[in-house]
Parts: sequence; C-alpha cells; structure tokens
Amino acid sequence: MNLNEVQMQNLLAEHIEALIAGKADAEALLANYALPLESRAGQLLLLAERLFVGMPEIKPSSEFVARLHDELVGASPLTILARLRQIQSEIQGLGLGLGALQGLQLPNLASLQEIIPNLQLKSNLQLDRSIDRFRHMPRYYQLAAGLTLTAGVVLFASRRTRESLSALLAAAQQQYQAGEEHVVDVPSVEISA
Amino acid sequence: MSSYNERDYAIASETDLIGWAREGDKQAFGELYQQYVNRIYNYFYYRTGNQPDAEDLTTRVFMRAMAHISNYDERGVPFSAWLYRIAHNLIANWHRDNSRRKVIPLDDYVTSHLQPDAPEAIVEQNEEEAHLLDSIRYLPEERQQLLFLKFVERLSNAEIGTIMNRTEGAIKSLYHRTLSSLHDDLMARGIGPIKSVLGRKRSQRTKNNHE
Repeated sequence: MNLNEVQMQNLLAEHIEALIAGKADAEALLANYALPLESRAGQLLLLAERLFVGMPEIKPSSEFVARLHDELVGASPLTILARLRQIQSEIQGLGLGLGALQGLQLPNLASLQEIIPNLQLKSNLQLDRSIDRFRHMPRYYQLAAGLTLTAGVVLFASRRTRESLSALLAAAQQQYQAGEEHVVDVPSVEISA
Repeated sequence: MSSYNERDYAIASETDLIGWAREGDKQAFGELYQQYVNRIYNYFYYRTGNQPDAEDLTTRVFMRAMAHISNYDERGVPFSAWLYRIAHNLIANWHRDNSRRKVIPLDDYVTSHLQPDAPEAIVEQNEEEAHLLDSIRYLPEERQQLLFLKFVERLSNAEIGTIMNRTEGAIKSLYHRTLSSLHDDLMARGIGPIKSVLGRKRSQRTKNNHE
C-alpha cells in the first residue's frame, strides 16, 4: 500500500510526537497501513529516530553563562563592551573605518589642535604637555601608538570578548613602558558602566 | 506591585518575570535569561558550528531582548518563540555575512564518539551518524532550523510554526520534504537501509563541550 502525501505527513507527525513522548513504535504505526520497516514510510520513520538520538544538546560553558548574566543585570563594569557587540555589523564596520583613520592620524594630533582653535581654549595644561611630548617622540613611537589605537578599535569592531580588550590595554601599557625615556603622560581612558 | 526586595525570582512564573522585566527589573530578566540561555546557545552552536560565534550571537539575542522587552506582548507569541525569532534574524544575517552553513563541527563530534576498540557495530553506527550530520549541513537553512527545533528542542509543529512564521500544516509538509531529501542523500552516499536505533538513551547524548 502506498501512502499519499497527506497520509505520509500525518504518519510522520504522529511518529515524532510519540518519539518526543517516549512512546514511539514505528512498526506498530506502520502496521496500520500494512507497511514494513523497509518501505519508504518505514525508512523515514527510522531516519527520524536516528535524528532523535543523534543530535546531542551542546551546552555553553558555565563561565560564559555567568559572565553574560552579570553583563545583563548590570553587575559587570564592562557593559559598554557588551553594548558595542550588539551594534549592527555595518555600523561596526563604519566605526572600524573611522577608528582606523583616527589611529593613523594620531601622529598629527598636535597639528589638529592648531586647526581647531576650540581645542586650545580648553585650559588643560597636562593634556597640552602630553600632546607636545608626544609630538616630539620618535616617529616610529608615534606610528606605533597610532597603530595600537587602530588595533583597539578593530578589536571593538570585531565583536571579541573583553579579554581581548584587557590584553590590548596591557600590551599598550607595556609598549609605553618599554621606551622609558619617552614615557608620555597620556590621560587614561576609563570605561565606565 | 511588589517591590524588588519582595520578589522571589526563582519561583516566579514566566508571566511575572516578563512583567517585572518590562518594568525595568534586570534581575527578573536575568532569571528569564537563565531559563533560556542553554537553548539559545544550542541553537546557535548548531547553526554556526563554532563556540565563539555561538557565544557572540547568544549575547546579541539577550541584549536585544532586554532592550526591547517593553515592546514584547505576551498575548502575541510565547516568550521562547519571541527569542527564537530574534535568534533567527541574527543567524540569517550571520549566514549572509559569512556565507557558511555549518551545523556542528563534524570532526569534533566524530572523534569524541568513535572508539578505536569498540565493536564493529558501534563503529559503523557512529560513522552513519557522521554521514547523517554531514548531510544535514547541506540542507537549506530553513530545513536545518526545522530539524534543530524538532529534534533538539522537541517543539511541536504549532510552536515551530510560530517561530518560523508558518502554519502548522506547512511545517508538517516541510518536515516530510526534509526527511525525504535527507533519506535520498544518505542513499546516494551508500548509507542504507536505515536501521532502528531506539534503545540508546538520549540523555547519554548530551554533551558539555565547552566546560
């Protein structure tokens, strides 16, 4: 006996519901239509049973679950990173491009200050000194700082975890400390919740 | 309206949790998160085939859900279906951006289950499962989603229809076509006839891959 389309659909639906309920009996269901397990219908039922057994649940790590929970309920201080990760990829790409431009232009920061008079109106003697010292650093230090900033923006835009940010900040700090005679008092950037 | 200190999130109903979350109670949303994070992660792991993307997409789902919880209407779709819809939209964008259609990392699955000294029957069975999962990888996206929601999440046709925005009848039809194409592909690979595998407890198949 060949099943029509509707009969086949109903048989498969009944079988999977029985599977989920733990009461599946493919032979008994097929017996209603006088069909053996080797029939087309029987083979589809057995395939469903194979899928039911063969697709395991994959659980996330407890560390990830706990970390995301803390970010959601506001217990984690790096919620800004979490918010950045949900930005659409197109906007992240735009941020990447702008960040790359900014990073590569960092050695010209002092020139920018001259172009934009408003920057000079802000009385921040320490910032002025820092920018001036930065401007007199060797070119390769300036370029390294610019590339470091660019890399930092790339990491934000690539939707990596906060561990990448920590590693970047540590690397940047090491980079500055490596050239002790050219240490710059760059204002720290704090990421607040 | 109860104050935050009076709320017992662990025993509250989903309706209460959703209501509190809509009022801005993050702890309530955190409880909802705990109830669904495994399922959403599982969904993404099957759809992306790797842990980092699954974690990233899972994060996006819950961030987006929390941001838009005030727009959620419980009278429309169940909360789980709402989450899956968000997840479905994200995975569609992910596939578009990555042009990949992995289900799970097949090599990890195979090597974790194949036993060199196992009886021939067990080895043969594992190889058949490997072929089966490999066939799943080449199914269209919606059929992969159907198989996941049906066999991993064990959702009813009605629930799946809500998530995939289809009628129950359409899901039954899609289920039939999916099994048929999978069967035909396995036959083409020389895997057949399909033998019964019931008797192996499904609970033994749960994997804590990423601990």
